[in-house]
Amino acid sequence: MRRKKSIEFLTEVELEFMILLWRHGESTVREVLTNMAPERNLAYTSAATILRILEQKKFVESIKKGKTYTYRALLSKDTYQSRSIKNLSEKLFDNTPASLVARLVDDYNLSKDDLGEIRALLIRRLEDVDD
Amino acid sequence: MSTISEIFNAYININILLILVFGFWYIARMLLKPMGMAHAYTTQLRLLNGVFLAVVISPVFILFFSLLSKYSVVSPEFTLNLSDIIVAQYLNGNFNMKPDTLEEYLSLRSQLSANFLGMGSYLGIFILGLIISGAVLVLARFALSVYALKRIINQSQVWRKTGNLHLLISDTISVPFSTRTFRERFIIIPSNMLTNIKDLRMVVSHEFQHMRQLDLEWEIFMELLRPVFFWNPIYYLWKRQLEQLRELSCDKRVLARKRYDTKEYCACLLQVCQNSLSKSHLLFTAIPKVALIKTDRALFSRNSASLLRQRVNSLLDGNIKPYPKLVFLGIIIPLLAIVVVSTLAIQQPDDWSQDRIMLSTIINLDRLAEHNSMETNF
Repeated sequence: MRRKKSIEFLTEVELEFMILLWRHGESTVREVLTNMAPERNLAYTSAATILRILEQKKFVESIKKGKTYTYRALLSKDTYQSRSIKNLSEKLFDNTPASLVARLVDDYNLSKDDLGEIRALLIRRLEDVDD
Repeated sequence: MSTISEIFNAYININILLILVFGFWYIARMLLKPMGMAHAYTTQLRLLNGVFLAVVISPVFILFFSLLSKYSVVSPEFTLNLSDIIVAQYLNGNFNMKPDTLEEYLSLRSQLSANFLGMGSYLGIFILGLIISGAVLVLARFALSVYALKRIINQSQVWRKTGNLHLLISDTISVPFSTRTFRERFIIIPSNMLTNIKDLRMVVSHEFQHMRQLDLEWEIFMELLRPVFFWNPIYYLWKRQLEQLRELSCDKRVLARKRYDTKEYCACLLQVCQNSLSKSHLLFTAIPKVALIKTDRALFSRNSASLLRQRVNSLLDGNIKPYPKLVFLGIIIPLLAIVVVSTLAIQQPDDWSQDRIMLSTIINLDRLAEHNSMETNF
């Protein structure tokens, strides 16, 4: 009856849950709660609801094992990172990724190693383009 | 033409009645204070709703009274019409005035209506155009708001569903609210509230209480009447009063029923308010919904803040008043009687009564005497 527009982005709480699933792999509600910071103090029902909502949004899938449900991320961390960066670039940097990188390099206090790593990445990417 | 004239008169009457009855309601509310019922918000809410309903169905009273007159249940001479009463008082000599001046005052409204309906003046056309275009604009705004509401519902995730009640979680809203269609009822909660189970419970209890009080139905009813009363400032005062009493009553009853900690409940209200300030708002003002807190940023933003302050103060004073049915009946019956009498009093008299013929005769005799004296002087 109700047609839903597909949701592309995670809310803050959902992202917190997804990070745990990406880090620890398939988890039950109880396991997600155990993996959370102790000061988070989240109720079991709240966690179960958030995971169910993530399932409705098709970010995770549930597998019934005995009496409990195990949740597995359907969306990979890499895919979500790309989607978020693309969105950030489009919305905040006028669709010019170079400005985004410039801001990152200027303001992020990157170490010499980080900059070296970025240079190596760029050289590799340029070689791929030349090929 | 006579049907248009009747509709126009009914329209004017209902607007006058709204203003009159709101004045009576204000007096009644002031009288509740010495009776120790200043904080009996549920009783006040039901009184206000009852009186408003009486105003809206006032044309039925007129029909009923004319049927009683037609079938001689009441004497045809018995009248509650204000202008008839004034004429009778004048003829009894209870006040002095030049007869033609009195006639002028009494016929002022019918004169204005005739000019207006006959389009005798450009002003009439202009005012009619304003009323119609205003009503159309208000209706369009309502339709847009309903569309925005539908979008929020469609984009929300289902949390629970029991019968026709849907508990939904939304990423796009910051203030929980409830709404309904003909068949289904919805409580929509911002997704960030899921992490605080205590607040979540309080919010759901609050919205359930609104449903028990039939606040959703009243809100939709009020919004549907907005095109009729959009130009009448008393309508907005009435609606504001209703919203205040609705929230104050709801808070008190939730705390009486569920025994939540008062400070935690207040903290929840303030937290929702704080969350709402950090999010952008859609065009929400005309949406037929009942929200946990009011967060208008435009015209009445100061009222929203003062309502929140009033709610917190009212909760902290801990004074939960019961809802005494007998007291309610003792107040609503005289109030309804006042509405009925006012409805009949402001009607235009249907035909020429004996008193009116007498007044007209006096005016004619006066004119004749004046004419004769002028001729004599000449």
